[in-house]
Amino acid sequence: MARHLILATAFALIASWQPPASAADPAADSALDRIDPEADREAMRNFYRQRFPGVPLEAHKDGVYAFDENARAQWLEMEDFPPYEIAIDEGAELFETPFADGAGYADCFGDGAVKGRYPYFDDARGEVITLEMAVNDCRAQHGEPPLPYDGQELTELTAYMAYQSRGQVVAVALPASEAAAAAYEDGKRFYTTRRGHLNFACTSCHVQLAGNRLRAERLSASLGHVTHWPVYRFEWQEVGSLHRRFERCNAQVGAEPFPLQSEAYRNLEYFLSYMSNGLELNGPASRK
Amino acid sequence: MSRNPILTVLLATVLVGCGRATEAPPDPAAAARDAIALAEQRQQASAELGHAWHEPIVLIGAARDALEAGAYDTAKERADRAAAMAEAAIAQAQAEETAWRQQPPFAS
Repeated sequence: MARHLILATAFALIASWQPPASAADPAADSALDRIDPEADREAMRNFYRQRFPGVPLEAHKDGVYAFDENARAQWLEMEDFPPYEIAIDEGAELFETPFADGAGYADCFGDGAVKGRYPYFDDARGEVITLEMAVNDCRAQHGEPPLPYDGQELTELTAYMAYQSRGQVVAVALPASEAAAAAYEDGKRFYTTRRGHLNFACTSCHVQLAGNRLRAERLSASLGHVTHWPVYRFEWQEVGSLHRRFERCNAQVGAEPFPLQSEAYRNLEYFLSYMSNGLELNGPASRK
Repeated sequence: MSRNPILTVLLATVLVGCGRATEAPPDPAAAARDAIALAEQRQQASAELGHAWHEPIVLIGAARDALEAGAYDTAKERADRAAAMAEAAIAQAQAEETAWRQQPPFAS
């Protein structure tokens, strides 16, 4: 009798067990209920674990150099005389140059080692704030005109700040408000939406084809995509921003790009940064 | 008005014939301008959906250049291609309304 009772209880327990599921409900009215950032992040990490067995997830901060040995060897040699070094020096000089009111960037950013705080969702403003926006906010507070988002001055400043921030980790907070959740969801949607006449989403190259060759180039994993900016790209022959890379990616698939620091690109940066939470910041860097 | 059916038919035939005789010859410049306007309208619609493609913008510019140069057939042909591509961009936007949720690694 006792044995039957135990068996019946065990059967009931097994029958009632359900696999752990994402808390996200795509049909929910509230964005907070529609998203599950931790489940997304775990799904992405699991995917790359299986796609690149033997490559520690943390190594993806180096992009394709995490899994392409030949390219890594060349890249490490270049790091002896990194092409972004001039941008760091120029950025340091700009950082130290006082504004007309006598204040300077240090009044907003201390020693400049602040990259780990960005991007974040500002509930008061209802939008994602990036480091580039924060630099221009700082300038506005001190009566200085904004720097163009596609200009070298802003890129050099952020190169210096990225250098100062090396060793920090990506640490984007879990979206806690409805507006923050909507921005996260919008970024995820951008990432997974097919665009342009090639009909490619970000995931087409950086998830489904990650690690494969596209002509002479190896396609990188999205994990670690945000850790190393700004980047000296040999294609550009200068240091450029993450949003400039977004712009180029959109153009490559035949889509009309969005403006740098547009809401669409900031939300995408917010989402991608959450995916890379825990990875080390190692900018600026060089890439082919 | 005559009540004779034969006369009525004859009158109608003459009127239709006159109408045809006064019909304007095809105006290739107007056709090109109309095609460009349609392409611009569809391009704008795709942009409002956040799904603009780059090629239609290039083609519309090239169509305008051809119109200016008096190459009306070329202008219309480029504008028609731009309109078709912009239409495809709109269809892509509509399909992606739900399809984006099915992309790996997040699709359940």
